[in-house]
Amino acid sequence: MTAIFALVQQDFRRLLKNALFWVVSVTLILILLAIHFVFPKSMEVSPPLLVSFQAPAYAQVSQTMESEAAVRKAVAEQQAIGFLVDDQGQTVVLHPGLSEKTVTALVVSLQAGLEPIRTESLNPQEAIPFNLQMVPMLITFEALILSFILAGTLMLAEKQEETVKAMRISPIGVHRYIAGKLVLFALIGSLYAGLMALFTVGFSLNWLTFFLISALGSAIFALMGLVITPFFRDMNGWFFSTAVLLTLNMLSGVGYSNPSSQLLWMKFLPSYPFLSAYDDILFGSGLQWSSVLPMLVWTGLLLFLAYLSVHRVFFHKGGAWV
Amino acid sequence: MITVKNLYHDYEGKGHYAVADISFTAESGKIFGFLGPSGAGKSTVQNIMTGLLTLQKGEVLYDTQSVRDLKTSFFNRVGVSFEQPNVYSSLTGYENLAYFAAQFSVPTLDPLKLLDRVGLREAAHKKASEYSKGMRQRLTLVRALINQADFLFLDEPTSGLDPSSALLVRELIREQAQRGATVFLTTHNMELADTLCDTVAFLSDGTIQAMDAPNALKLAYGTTGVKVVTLQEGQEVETYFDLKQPQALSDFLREHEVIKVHSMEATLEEIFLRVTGKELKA
Repeated sequence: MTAIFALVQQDFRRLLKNALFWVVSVTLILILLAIHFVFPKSMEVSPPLLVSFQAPAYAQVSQTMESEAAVRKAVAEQQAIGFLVDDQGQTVVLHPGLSEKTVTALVVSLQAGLEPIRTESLNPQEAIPFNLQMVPMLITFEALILSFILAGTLMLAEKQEETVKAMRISPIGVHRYIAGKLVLFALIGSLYAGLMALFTVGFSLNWLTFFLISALGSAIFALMGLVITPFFRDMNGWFFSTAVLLTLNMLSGVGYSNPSSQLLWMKFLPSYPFLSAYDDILFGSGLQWSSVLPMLVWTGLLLFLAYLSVHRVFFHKGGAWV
Repeated sequence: MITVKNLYHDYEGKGHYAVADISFTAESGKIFGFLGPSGAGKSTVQNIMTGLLTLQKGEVLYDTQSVRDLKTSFFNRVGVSFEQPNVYSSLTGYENLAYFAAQFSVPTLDPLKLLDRVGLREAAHKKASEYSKGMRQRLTLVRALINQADFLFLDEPTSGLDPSSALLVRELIREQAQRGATVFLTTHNMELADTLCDTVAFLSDGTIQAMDAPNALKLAYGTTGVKVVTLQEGQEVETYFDLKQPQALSDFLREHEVIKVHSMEATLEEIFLRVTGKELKA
């Protein structure tokens, strides 16, 4: 334990003297400021302009134009939605590039527009303010992913300064090296995530669950750094590959924020279960265990790969040492 | 004691050996000097001995235990100082030592006392990035000493040091052997090897060309004469005498005004050149 504590302590000292660490920390503050002062609490969505020409079914709900050309002009220039009837008597909906789903939904709602409806929410919580809706994404893609970036930065420095050679012939060993990095980044990631949650959502959440998930998430992303970094000599190649990998990982955010456009494989990205877990912890009724299983699977897989990568590549000893 | 038997290493696996048939014994409480120019294979042998390179052919024994069977905990007994100083530049000298000291499960020395021994006490709390090359070299050396290792590998420990620092380092190395450590010194500095080593091995083209105590090598390859410089009619004149004929020398000294007497003992550098046909430069 003393050895792991020393690893954590010295790595933290190295981080405090690392410019990237401070860039990430300042980014955290900027994000918090943006949530409070830049993003609105609610979004006012103005109703779309509806126009029609010789389309009696929509005449009541739209502005009647004098010609088909006028309808087309309004759609092209004012982002309006137009209704026409073609030679076969079929209604044609003109739109400025909306998805098929959206157009269909609009038409259905217009057709039902005259009937009175009643809405009922099954979520006992109040509606989530717009500026807080993205907090789960910001925690996942800032507080947790910084473990990946900072773990990689520390390892690259160890390579470039050749201190890794000194570690290879010390009794540190692969297990303690990995454990030291995981403990450090679980603590830092949890602290950052905790600050983001505290200054956005407030105190009213299950902090124990929150910190456990944050520590696990930070450890997973630190492990990804431990898996990838040994294969790179310097920051140049590493940074490019990391950018590609992190961009891919962030695609889970697309599925999270817009479920209708979600593809199946996005659910298998490491960040996906954290988005839904944070959503549940911060705004829902608590953590769903279905989110935890993929986290544990990722942890096991990455732990195995990180051991191989650090042992075989970073601490390369050719198998002579156990 | 470290025993190396018939060691071979082929980096590319194509039958071109970087080192071939290397055998020697480095005894406890002694300093074993491994001498040779750059590219001779010194680092290859040291890296195999420390486990940084895979042992392909031959054997390396620490006392009776093969390098193949050693566990990570064995490194509690090993200290390595690299030729290129490799320290955490963002940490202070003290933090660098404290960091490594915490990794050992054996008693370690006080970092400040060690830094003091190599003249770094004043700079103990300065970042290593602010150190000169010589200071970093000394820091790398004392890091290797912190666990009072039984087996010490020192690669060019006085490289880049000023004469007074080099003297401090020599004294420290001598102390390690005196307390019973096996010291494996890799260098191309013949003067350092001559003053410190109990045994030296000359390495050239990946093979050991000669190995013995420095004095034994000098006796074997040098001459037993002296050069006497006298002043004759205002001119310095050199005369050579074989010590096997002491009477002639004695008579000469009595009859002439002697200015200087030089031993004709061969230096290790000259012996290396004679044995390998190569200059011993870095």
